[in-house]
Amino acid sequence: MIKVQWLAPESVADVQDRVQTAIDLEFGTLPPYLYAKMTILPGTNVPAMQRLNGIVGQEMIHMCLACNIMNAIGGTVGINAPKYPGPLPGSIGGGVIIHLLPFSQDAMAQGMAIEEPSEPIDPPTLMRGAAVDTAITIGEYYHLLDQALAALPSSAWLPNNHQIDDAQFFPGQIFAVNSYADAHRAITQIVSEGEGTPVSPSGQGSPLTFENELAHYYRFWEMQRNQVLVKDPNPVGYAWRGALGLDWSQVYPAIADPELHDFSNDSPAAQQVQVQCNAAYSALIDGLISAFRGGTGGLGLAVRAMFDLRMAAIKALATPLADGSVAGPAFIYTPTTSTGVLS
Amino acid sequence: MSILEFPRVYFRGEVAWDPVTTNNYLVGQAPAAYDEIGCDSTLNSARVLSAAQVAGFRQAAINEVGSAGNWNPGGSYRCPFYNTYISGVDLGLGLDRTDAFATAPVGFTGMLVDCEPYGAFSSQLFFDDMSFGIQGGCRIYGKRIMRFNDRFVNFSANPSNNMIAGVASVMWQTGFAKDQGLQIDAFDSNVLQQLQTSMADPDVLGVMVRFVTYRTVYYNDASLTNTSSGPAATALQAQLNAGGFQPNPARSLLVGTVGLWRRGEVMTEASERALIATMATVPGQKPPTARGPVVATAFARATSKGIALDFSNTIPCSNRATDKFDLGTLTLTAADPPPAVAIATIATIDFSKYDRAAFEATSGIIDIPLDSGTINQLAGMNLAITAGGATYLQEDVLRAIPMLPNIYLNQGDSANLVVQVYERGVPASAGVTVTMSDMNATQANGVSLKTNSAGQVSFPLQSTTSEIIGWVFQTGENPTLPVGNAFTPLNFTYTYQRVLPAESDIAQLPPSWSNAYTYVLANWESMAPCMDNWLRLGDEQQVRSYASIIKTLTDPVNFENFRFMPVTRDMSNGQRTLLYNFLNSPYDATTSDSGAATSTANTASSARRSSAEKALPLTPIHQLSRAMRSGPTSD
Repeated sequence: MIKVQWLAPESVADVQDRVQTAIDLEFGTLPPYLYAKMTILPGTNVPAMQRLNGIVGQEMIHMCLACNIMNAIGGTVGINAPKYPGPLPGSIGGGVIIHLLPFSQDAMAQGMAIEEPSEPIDPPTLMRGAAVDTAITIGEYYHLLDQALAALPSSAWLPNNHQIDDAQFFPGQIFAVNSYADAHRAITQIVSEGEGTPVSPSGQGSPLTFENELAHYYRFWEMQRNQVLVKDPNPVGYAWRGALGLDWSQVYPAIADPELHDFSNDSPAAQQVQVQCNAAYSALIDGLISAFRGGTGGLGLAVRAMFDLRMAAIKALATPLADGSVAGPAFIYTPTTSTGVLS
Repeated sequence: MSILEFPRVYFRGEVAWDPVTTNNYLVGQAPAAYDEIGCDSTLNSARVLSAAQVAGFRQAAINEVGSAGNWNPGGSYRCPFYNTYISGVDLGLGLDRTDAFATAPVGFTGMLVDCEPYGAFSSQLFFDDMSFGIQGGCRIYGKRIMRFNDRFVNFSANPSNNMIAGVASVMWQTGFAKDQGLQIDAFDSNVLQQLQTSMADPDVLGVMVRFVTYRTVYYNDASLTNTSSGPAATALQAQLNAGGFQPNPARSLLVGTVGLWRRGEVMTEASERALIATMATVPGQKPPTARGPVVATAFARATSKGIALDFSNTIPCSNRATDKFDLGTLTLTAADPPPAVAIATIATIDFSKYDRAAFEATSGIIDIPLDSGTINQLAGMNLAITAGGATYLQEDVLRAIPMLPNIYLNQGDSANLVVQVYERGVPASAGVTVTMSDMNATQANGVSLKTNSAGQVSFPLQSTTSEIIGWVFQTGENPTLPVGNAFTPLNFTYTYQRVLPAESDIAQLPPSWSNAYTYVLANWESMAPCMDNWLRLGDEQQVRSYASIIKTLTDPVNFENFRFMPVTRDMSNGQRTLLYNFLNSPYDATTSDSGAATSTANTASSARRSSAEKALPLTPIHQLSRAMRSGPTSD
C-alpha cells in the first residue's frame, strides 16, 4: 500500500502545493501502467488490455481534473517527470518503490499497491486481516485535499482559468473546475475510480456495486489473480468466478526499469529508438504544460505526442538489445527544443 | 415481435460524433473536396497525388472550417456513448427503475461512416461489440453481426436547434444473435432473467437494439447557430494550425431500447406497423415545407397488454432544452381498409404521455392498454394518430424493407438485394408488387417484382461502373415515379448501393513506393489527418514495418470490423492490389523514393488512370441535403 504524507495547509499556496502533489501522483502512475500495457504481445491477453486501457484512460482524466483544480485556485500547473525505479511522488516511508515492469503478476500487484484503499472489500474466497496503519492512502489524501479546498475563501477561485473540458477528448469525463463544487465533484470521481474507497462516513463511492466500472484496485486484483470478480448472492455479495484467461508468457521479453539499463552496449537502432521514445515523452510533457497554461494547441499537441510515444514504443519493443531482450520506453524527460519547459 | 414486445430495457445518454467532414464537399464546391464516385480526395478539383498536395489539402480543409463550415477536418471517426445508462425496464407491468440492471452503464464506440459521403441518409456505425452493464455484474454483451445503420432521418425534429444538423433526429438499429456471441449475465435482474429465458424460444433470434439520437450540439456549445459560430470556428482553426491531434466532435442526446429480436424481423430498421408522417403543420408553427417541425414516422405493435407505440423519433422538440411540442391530446384511431369509411377511436394520449419526461423515461415508447378483443380487431385495421382535427400519422399498410440498408460492391461484382414486404407489421403473402427505382433519376419506370410466399422479392444489382445509387422501394401497382423530390427518409424505404471502382490499371502498376503512395496512400493521408496518430502514411519505412497490420486491417474479410482501414471503406480492389504488391516487395534503399514527400507525377504521369479525368458527378436530389450537415449557411 502506498502511503502519502499530508501536511495541513496554512495558505492558498500550501493548498496549491498539495494539489501539485496530486497531479504528480496521478502522472506518476501512468508510466508503470503504460509499460505493463505496452509489453503485452499484440492480439493477446485481451481482458488485460481492456482493463489497462480503461485504467490508463481514467488516470489521464484524473490528472487533467487535478490540473483543472490547480488552475481554478490560481496555481501554475507543473508536469514533473518521476524517476523509475523510485517512490511515487508524495509517498513516504519508503515502503513501495515503483518500477517499470513488463506485464506480469508482479506488475499487477504493484498496481494494487498503488491503488489499494484503506479498507478493501474482501470476497469470501480471499479473506485477509485488515491492515492497521496510521499513514494515509491516496484516497485519504484526496479526502483531506477536498476539505482543504472547501476551506478556501471564494476569492481563491478563478473561474475559467485555463480550464480544459471534454470538448475534444474523453467526452463526459473531463470538466472545467470553476468552484469548490466542481473540485469536489472531480475529487469524488478520482477517488471512486481509483481506490473506490468510500469518501465519506456514509459510504459514498462503494467500490463493488457492479453498477459502474470497478475501481482500479479491483481490476488490478482480477488481473493479478487471473480471475473474474463477479456479483454473487453470498453474504458479502461478490465472489471470484472463473478464469480471466491471461497468459503471462504472451509478453515481449522486456527488461524492467529501462532507465537503469546501459544502452551503450546495444545496437545503434536500440539506442536511437530509446531517443525517439524519450523525445515523444518529453513532447508529451511539454504539450501538457502548454495545454494547462493556456497554449493555443490545447490538449491536442500532448495527445499527438502520446501517440508518437506509442509508435516509438512499438518500435522499441521490436528492437533487440545485445542480450536478446528488448526495452520499452524509459520515460525520461529530455527537452529537445528551446521551448521545452519544466515546471 | 420487436423491441415493442415485453420485456424491454430502456437506456439513455449521450454520444459524441467525430467523423472527418471534409469528404462532405463536392468537387469544385470547396478547395479541399472529395469525388465520391472515384473515391478521390481533390485539391482545387485535381486529384491529390503527392505529398505536397496532401499538405495543401490538409491546409485547405483547415481553412474551410471558417469559409465553408467544415466543422471537423481533424476527426477520428470514433463515436463513443458516454453518460449512458440503463434508465429503466418494463416486464409488462409498467416502467421499473428498481430492477438490478437499472443504472448500469452502456458501453459502445462505433466508427461513423456515410455510405454516400455527400449525402445525409446513409450513415453507419461500424463497431465490434456493445455492452450494457459491466463484466462481473448484470450485463448484456453483444458481438456485432451487422453495423448500425441510420434511418428515418427527421431534419425537422427540432427547428430551434438550428446549428448545422442540430435540427435532426435519427433512428439506429441492429440485432445481436443469440448464437453468435450474445451473452446475458442476469444475476438478480428480473428483466435479464426474462430475456435469458426468452432466448430458449426458437422464434427468438437474439436481442435487438434501437436508439434515437437528437439535439446535436457542435463546438461543445449548445447555444450556437449557423450565424453565431464564427468565433468557435476561428478558435478551432487556430487549434488545427497549431498542429497535433485536434478532433472537434459533435454530441447528441440519445434514448434507446433493448428487446427481443424475433424471426422474420429485419435487423437493420424498424419493421413494425408503420405510421408514416403526413407532414401536417404543427399548430402555430411554420409548415414542414418551410422547415417547420414535423411529426415523424412512428411504429406500432400489439403486445400482450394492448398496443405499444414507438414515438422515439416522432414528436418534435419545441426548444433546445428538448421539450416536446404540445399537440394536445392525441387520438389513436383505427379504420377498416377502404372503401370503408368508419373510423373508431381506440385511445387518447394526453400530453403527459408524450412530453419530454415521458419520452426520457421510456425512450419514447407509449403503452396503451387494450382488451384482447380490441387488440385482435386492430390487426386488420388501419391506424392513425390525430389531434385537433389534423392527422399527423397514417398507417402505411404495405412496407417493402430492404434486408441491407447500405451495400458496398466492387465494380464487376454481382449481388442480389432481398426486400421483405410487411403488411401491417407481419410478413406479407405472395403476389405483392414491389418496385425498385433510383431516388434521383427521372426514370418513369422502375424494376417491379412480385413477392414470393415469404413476402420477399430479390432484386439483382448491377455494378458495371463505379457509382452511388439510392434505391427506393414501393409497394403496389401505382408507385410514385420518378420519386424525385417526393423522397423523404421518413416515409420511403431505401438502400444505398455504392460501387467502388475496379481500377485494374492501378493494380498493374509497378509496386514502387512512389506508385503506392501516389495512387493509394496520398488520398488516405489527405482525408484523414488522424492517421498520423497511428501510422505516417507518407513514411515508406513505417508503412513497410506495419505491413502485416495494414494487410489485416484492409483485408475485405474484416470489412465490418471497427478498425477496418481505411475507415471510409473507399479503397478499390486495384488500389488494394497495388498496396499489397508494394508491401510484399523487398525494400531496396538504393532505389527507394522514401520521399513520398517529394513524390511527383514522374512514373505516375504515364500511368495516370483515366479516372483522374473522369467527369464530375452531377448533383442528385439526395445530395442536396448535405448542406444540412456542413456549411455556414444562414439560419
